[in-house]
Amino acid sequence: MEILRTDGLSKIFGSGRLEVRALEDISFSVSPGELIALLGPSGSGKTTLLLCISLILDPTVGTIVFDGDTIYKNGWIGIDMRRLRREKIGFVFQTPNLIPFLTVRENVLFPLELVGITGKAVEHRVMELLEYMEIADRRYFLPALLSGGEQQRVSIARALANRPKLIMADEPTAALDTERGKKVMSLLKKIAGEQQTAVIAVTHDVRMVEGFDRIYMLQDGRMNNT
Amino acid sequence: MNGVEKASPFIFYGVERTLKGTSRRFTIIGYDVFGGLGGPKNLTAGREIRHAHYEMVAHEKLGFRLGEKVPLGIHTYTVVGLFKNGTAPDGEPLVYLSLPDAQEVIYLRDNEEIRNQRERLYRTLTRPGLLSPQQSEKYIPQLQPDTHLVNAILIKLAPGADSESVARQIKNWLYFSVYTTDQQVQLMLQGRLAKPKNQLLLFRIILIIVSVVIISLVIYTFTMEKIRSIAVMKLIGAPNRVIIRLVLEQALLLTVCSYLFGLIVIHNTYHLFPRFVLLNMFDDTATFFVALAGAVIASLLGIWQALKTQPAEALGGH
Repeated sequence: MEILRTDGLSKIFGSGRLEVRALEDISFSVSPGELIALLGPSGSGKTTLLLCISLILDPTVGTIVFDGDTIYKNGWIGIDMRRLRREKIGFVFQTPNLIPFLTVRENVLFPLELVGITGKAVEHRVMELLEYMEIADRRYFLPALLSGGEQQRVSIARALANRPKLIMADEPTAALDTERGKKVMSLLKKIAGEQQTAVIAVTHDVRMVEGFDRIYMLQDGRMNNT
Repeated sequence: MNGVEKASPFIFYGVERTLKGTSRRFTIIGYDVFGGLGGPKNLTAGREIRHAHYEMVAHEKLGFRLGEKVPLGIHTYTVVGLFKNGTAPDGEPLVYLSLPDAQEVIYLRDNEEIRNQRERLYRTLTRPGLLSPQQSEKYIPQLQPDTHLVNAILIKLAPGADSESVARQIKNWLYFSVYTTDQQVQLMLQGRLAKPKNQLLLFRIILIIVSVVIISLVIYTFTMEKIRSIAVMKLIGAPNRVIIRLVLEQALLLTVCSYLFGLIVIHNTYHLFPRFVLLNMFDDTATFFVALAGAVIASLLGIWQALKTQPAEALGGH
């Protein structure tokens, strides 16, 4: 079963002469363990699409089906969007966006606390993730003391904390050099393969999408499957 | 009198005198030093007054040392005791003297003033139709003001005596006003101390308002610095109550730290205040709770800013 499917999704900003069609008739889907890339130049609508499928921005028309439930059909259908995000979606950002006043361990712990997981299970899960990301020895460090690549690994660990069904990665390599960027992408591939988590990565760098299952090109709000 | 174990005369008055070259305001208390009521308590150094004349016990705030000679009026007094707790109702430091010494300091006038008064009396009495010059000379010394006045008589009740009935007796029999210790305190609080108390209350309210505004701006600035973190929290699904708690905890922590700092500073410096300042637990506790309420109000601006932050702000570069 698909984790996410959109049908005829459009987003229009403004109206009349000021109308801007940011997304037009977008239809695609992603299944568990699948790794797809959304490629496109600046202004092509990548971030708008990401915001819509991350339940942050209201589409204008279309349908979104998430984990078998239709959650949007020309309007949101009775869902708690924040709850869905914290329980089923993990986010990786262009910059790691770690909470600067929390340690590495606490940053990974935060999403677990949000869903009410406490006790030994939390500590076990945090250690498991930090070891998986090969950053366990830095768990008591503040983010400012880590390199950019290490911070991005912590942010991936945070995204994986609640065993999400889908990871949304917004330009995850943009702030890294090529080598570190490729490592991050390899990590996302590994996660998709080993944990059966679907990954949607938005990027403008074609070199980073090697080995992805599908690549969608966005141009002026329209999508082409390549 | 029934119900009275002991009664003794008492005098007190505020004066402004030059001490060590500086003009100082203080209150003199005169009491019966031989077992009378109203003497100094809890001396921090020295002893009570034991002689009928020329000894004094003074508040530490006046800066005297034991054995120091202090000129007051036409005599010089030796400081035999010092104390720390105790103040005049208006917050001025106290000086204890024997009753006759205190009466002398307040009522005794210099020779020139005595001569002037005698001259004025003489002119008045020798007006046509009144007294002859010889008669006037005879009566003038007797018309001088009495310097043996007291302000009050202090009374200690006999064990088991009813204060109301003793007070009634004194009122009916001697036509004096009678106040119990509690009534004196109330009289002081509602009369002489009411205005300064209200002034201090107003001052405190203004300070709290200013503090709330300052804390509010500090919290707002802190919140603005964390906008991206707040956006990330919202994006990963943190409910509003988590965000509100974060801002509120920050405001409360700041307030508690400020309060503790203020409390330590006040408790270590209040003795330097020109007047006697009485610190009490109730005021400290009430101020703490008012400050906490202020912190909640101060955090509203930060909470409002945090709640209107969009999760989309977490996306994209800095």
